[in-house]
Amino acid sequence: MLTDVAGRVLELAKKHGASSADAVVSRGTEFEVKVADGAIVTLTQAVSKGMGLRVFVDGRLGFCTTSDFADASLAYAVERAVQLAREAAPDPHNGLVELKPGLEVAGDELELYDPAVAAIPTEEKIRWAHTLEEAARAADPRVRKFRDSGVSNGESHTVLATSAGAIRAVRSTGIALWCNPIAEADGQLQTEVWYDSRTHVGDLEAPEKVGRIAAERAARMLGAKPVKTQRAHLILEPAMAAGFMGSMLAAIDGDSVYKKASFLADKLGKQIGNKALTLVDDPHIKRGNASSPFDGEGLPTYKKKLVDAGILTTFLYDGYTARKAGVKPTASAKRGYSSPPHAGVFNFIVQPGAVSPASIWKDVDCALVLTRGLGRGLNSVSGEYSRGANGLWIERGEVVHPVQEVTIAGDYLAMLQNIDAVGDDLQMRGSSGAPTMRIADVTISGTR
Amino acid sequence: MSLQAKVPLRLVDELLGLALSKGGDFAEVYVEHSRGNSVALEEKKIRTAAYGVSLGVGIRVIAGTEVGYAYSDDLDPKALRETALVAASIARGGKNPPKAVSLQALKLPNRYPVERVPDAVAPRDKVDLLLRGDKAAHAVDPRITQVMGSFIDQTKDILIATSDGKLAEDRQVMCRMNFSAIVDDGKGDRRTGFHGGGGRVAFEHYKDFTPEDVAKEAARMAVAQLGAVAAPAGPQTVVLSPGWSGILLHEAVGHGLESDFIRKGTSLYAGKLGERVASDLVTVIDSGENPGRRGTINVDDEGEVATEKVLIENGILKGYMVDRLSAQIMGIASTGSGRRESYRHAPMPRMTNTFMAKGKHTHDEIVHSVDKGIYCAAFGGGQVDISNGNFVFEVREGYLIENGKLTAPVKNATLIGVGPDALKSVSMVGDDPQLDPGLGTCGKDGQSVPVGVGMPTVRIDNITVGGTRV
Repeated sequence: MLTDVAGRVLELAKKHGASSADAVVSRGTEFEVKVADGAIVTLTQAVSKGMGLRVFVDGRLGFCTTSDFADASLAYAVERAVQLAREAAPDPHNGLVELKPGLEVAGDELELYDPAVAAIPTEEKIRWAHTLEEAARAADPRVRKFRDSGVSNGESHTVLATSAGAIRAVRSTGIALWCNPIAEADGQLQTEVWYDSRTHVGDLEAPEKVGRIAAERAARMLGAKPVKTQRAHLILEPAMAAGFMGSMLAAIDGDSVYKKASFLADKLGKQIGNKALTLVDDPHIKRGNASSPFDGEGLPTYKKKLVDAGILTTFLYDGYTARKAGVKPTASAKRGYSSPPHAGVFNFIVQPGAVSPASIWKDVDCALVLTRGLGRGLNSVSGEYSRGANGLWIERGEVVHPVQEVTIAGDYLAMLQNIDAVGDDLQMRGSSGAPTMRIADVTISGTR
Repeated sequence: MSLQAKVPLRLVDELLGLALSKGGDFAEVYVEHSRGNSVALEEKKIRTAAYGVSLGVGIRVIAGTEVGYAYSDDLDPKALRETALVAASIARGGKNPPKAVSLQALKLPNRYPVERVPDAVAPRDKVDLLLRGDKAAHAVDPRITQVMGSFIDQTKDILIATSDGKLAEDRQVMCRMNFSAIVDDGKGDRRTGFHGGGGRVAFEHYKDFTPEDVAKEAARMAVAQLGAVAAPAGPQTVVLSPGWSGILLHEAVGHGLESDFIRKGTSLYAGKLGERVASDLVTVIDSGENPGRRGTINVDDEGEVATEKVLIENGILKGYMVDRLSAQIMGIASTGSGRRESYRHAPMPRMTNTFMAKGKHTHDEIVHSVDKGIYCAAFGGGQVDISNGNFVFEVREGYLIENGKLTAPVKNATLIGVGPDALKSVSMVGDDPQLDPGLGTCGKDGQSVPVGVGMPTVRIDNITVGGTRV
């Protein structure tokens, strides 16, 4: 059915005058149950679909997307895409990437599809959702309220087809658990979310554990207050380290490089951070949440270092941005049906070091341990970093008090240079992973 | 309207019946057909243009306080009946006799009369706006290295039918034109500027809100920040410019007054009705009624006419933003605040246009009153944790205030505060209230909806500025 729809829209595109085109067609199922205070909040189920078509007309780019597959609707959308392309400027760098023609079906060697996910009974998922909440309540008596806890799962089937006769198909499953408790004491409320997300149900953390960790994280924030404005060490918990390092991805996107909208535009091949820093994009992790054998334009993906011992080794390119830069694409195109391809990463990993997290905490007199960020953080044009922070104030490895209402700020490149410890405790969560990290001399803005 | 041609009322009736057949107390059918267009400019030319369609039906069933939701992008009656039954299954073990619903069409206000919908405007006309703006921005300064522009529009038809007999149909249009500019002084200082806007307006809006003015403002903002100094770190007196600074209200109090957080007790404002939560200079209103604004709606996504509600009056907490489910559970009236991103989402309480009422000081009086502080001319995005009340927002264009005058531009500043503390520190409110030009999109639980904000010039004492100068 998906290949059929793709074939129809490609045919229509040709008929209306497109010189080349490619289409992504997806079909998926979705299930989500949210509970709070022992009752279901919302139970959502659906089957959904969508098509996205990119057309090239005399070197001009047009696009359309629709969830309506009725013949007349598809025909109208394609016609509009071709008409709209004629309003865009011709660009010699537009076009499809070169692919081996014919059908390639992927997913099985990377084990992205788990038939057991669809087979979990609804009642079982509702029970897990309640278990998340019960485990959180049991973990700490100050946890009595919840924003929600829940379980979601789904599967998707996606086909990419090009007017040059290449077809790539992939299917995958996903299942996730989350718990969002509120801890309360002395009139203060503190909330945290903890979750796990996998392609295979057998890999999923137990709801008891996810609920307990969520509660502990919320409860330990009770009594949070600002610290004095100062420069100090910042310790990033693994999930925070992945987010902090991931914030630079927008700046190594080939798109922002040619637009001169990146502070890293002239840093390729240069030392941008401490030697301890190595960043990897690995699309081939077995059962990985964002693993894929080919990218959004159909190119075979590969594992690559983005930063190697502190040196920026590559930008991320899709077909267009690679041609524009005069280099080979890095097979980094990401794409759903709702928008044209855009370069990004698959599974993003900060390579672990050799230091234990315990010594990262203990080896400094005092530090702010970042447990959650608020706001955007990195300005990828100027390279300046500033973000709201929740965390723990520690002295010689011991927690003194939880912290809120402070910001952390600095020049991002200086912060990368000031990374003075990388932990050995790599943790994958979702499609990214990092160990505990420590950065020296970060400005913490708090009280006078 | 054409929606009844896609899903006939007779079928809607049948779906409501099926949705309640397993024992639910309330059912609702939401039909949506939206068409969107976008044109994007970069490097002095049109990069691409796109068209998108979203068509589907969402069915919600409430049993007690539990919600079953199902949606379908397949409008075949068989698929829709199945969707209704899936939503119905939230009510386990119950059974309702089939009951005919007699739907009464609601009379709706017309807060965004638009003769020609944006979907019907020739793409060439949208392209022309972007090319005009591009030229104007580049002319501002030879050091401008990049101008990016976009024109995005949506024409969305919705139909809402409920088992308590309400039928509402609305056409919600939206236009938005944005420009951003990057300036590079050739010595490593690279600054950006941004401006844009629109709302539920006709394309003709851009005759007055011209692309030249908008793009030049983006370029001006970028150039003005060259040579910016590091922002001081720590508590400061801040003055917020009128208009878009209203995002402060959206983050600092708005989200915390949404009824789902209130009834679950997860907001720090829960149970504080009638108490002081802000300085007595502060009156905050949320209104879906302002003509043509981004957050304006004739009817919410649950079939209630959106109203104007006073949230805070002279510093005292007066009310919440209430959706249907919270209204039922809390035993109060809906304020027409149930909104959703699309048919794929169940509605929840949301803001519309959130703004602060006018005060008595002039803009200059407020700036002159500050010996040492920060003037925030423009903001980027913000975020709030509604439980501990911490909110942040990013200062996009800011200046030092020294002895009552604006001096050097500052870079890399974020403001952080706790909602009630920040609002209690409001010490002066201007006589120059403004609504924003139509910039806001609010995200909550993965759903995005357009919103408006607004405020006069405001002085806040003692708010933490997250700079780098210690």
